[in-house]
Amino acid sequence: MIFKLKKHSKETDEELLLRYKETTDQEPLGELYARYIPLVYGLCLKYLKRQHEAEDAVMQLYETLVDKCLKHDIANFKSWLYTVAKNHCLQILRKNNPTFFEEISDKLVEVEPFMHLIVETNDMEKEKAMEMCLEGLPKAQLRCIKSFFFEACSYADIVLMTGYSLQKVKSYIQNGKRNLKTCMIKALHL
Amino acid sequence: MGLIEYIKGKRYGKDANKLERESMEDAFLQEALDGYDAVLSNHIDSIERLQTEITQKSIVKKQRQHIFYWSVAAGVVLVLGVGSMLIFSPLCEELIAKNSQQSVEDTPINNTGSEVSIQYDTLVKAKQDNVKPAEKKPLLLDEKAEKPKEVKPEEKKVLAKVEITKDKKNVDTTRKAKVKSTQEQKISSERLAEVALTGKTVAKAAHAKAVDAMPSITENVVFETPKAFDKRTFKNYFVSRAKKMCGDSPCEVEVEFVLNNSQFPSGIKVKKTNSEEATQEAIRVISSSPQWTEKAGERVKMKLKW
Repeated sequence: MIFKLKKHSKETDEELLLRYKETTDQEPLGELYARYIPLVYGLCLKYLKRQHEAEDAVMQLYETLVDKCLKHDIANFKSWLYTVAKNHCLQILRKNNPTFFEEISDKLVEVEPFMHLIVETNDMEKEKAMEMCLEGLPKAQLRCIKSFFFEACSYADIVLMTGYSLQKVKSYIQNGKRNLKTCMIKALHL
Repeated sequence: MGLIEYIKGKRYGKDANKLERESMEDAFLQEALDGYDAVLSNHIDSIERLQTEITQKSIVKKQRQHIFYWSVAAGVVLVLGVGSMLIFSPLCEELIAKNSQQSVEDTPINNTGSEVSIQYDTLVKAKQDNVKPAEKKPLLLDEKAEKPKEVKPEEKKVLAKVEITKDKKNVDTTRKAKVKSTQEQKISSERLAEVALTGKTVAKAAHAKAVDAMPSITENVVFETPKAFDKRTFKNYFVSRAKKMCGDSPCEVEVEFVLNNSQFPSGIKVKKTNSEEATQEAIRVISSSPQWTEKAGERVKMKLKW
């Protein structure tokens, strides 16, 4: 191989970004972007649905980053990259299909911290509220929520145990989590 | 467990659950996991290939930048190098000298021979004073280059003699002498400029030129050049000039030439000779001779013996 690939350094995202901005040398940017390629590629797969289109999008995105990184003040590279990558994918979709509408699914909305409500519930009041709310959940949701949050089972484990499809399991967990959160907030008067 | 492991298929157990829980608070990770679940394929290969391409791209761009900067630097060095070579090389000096010589030649000469000689002396002296000892030896002056200095008194003699004959001879002779004198002055001034500016090479050439242009100086005798030549006049003229050339031994030069449309000799051939010096002199005198009285196109054969 002509070019020896350097092992990823222990520099943080901020350090690499700063080095790129100071020197405009693409090496640190390449290293930084390479760290997030699994995430970006997965995101592109989600929106573009095709492997080669997702790969192209990942490469195109790098080209846009070369300029954008210099122009913008980036506080958190990961969050910023998520927004830029998502917009890039949506732009591609709009080009290919002008009448495209993005479906705002529950998954996109439910990213707020929820774990603090169900984990480490030493508070008696919280425990009671939890029990009450769990009883109120539909059966499928309850089973998936219990397996996922209390038995530490993965989606794949739950699929095996319940026989539901992966999409169903994800959906039950997502909806169950949202219902539980709403119920607990009501019960605890938060 | 990392995302890569999860993509590789390790989706069971607590580690997978941990990652999935993380994804609940990280939209980026959640959407990426959804993407990998939506399209089933060998994503690990694609990710590795993409990472390699991005790294290579960034390194190649860096190397290209380096190549660009180095090529610019090399260009600057080359330009400076060639420039300085041109400025400081002897070739350039010669070119400058030639230009200066050209300007000297272009200026009209109104000086007399003696004035020119004085200027020559002054300039040579000034030049010698200005030349550093280190430069004298190898570059500017060698043994031969100093010859113009030796020629100077002879040149002066000739000039003086021309002046003397001017009073004694008829008007035509005086005119000729004047022309001769002007030529000599021009040559002297040329040589002056050349010696003063360039030294060795040009001085040598100018010296040879001056010596050629002047009447033969084997004898300190002033020769009157006839108006026109025929075989007889030429023989007399030449023999009287070259009398002492071969010393006591007999000299013989047999020459042949054709008179051109203007009745000037051309195509000079030496058929027989026993003295190289005499031959050269014969050729020189014939080639610089005035019009001949023989018809144009006539082949002239002469045996010069003395």
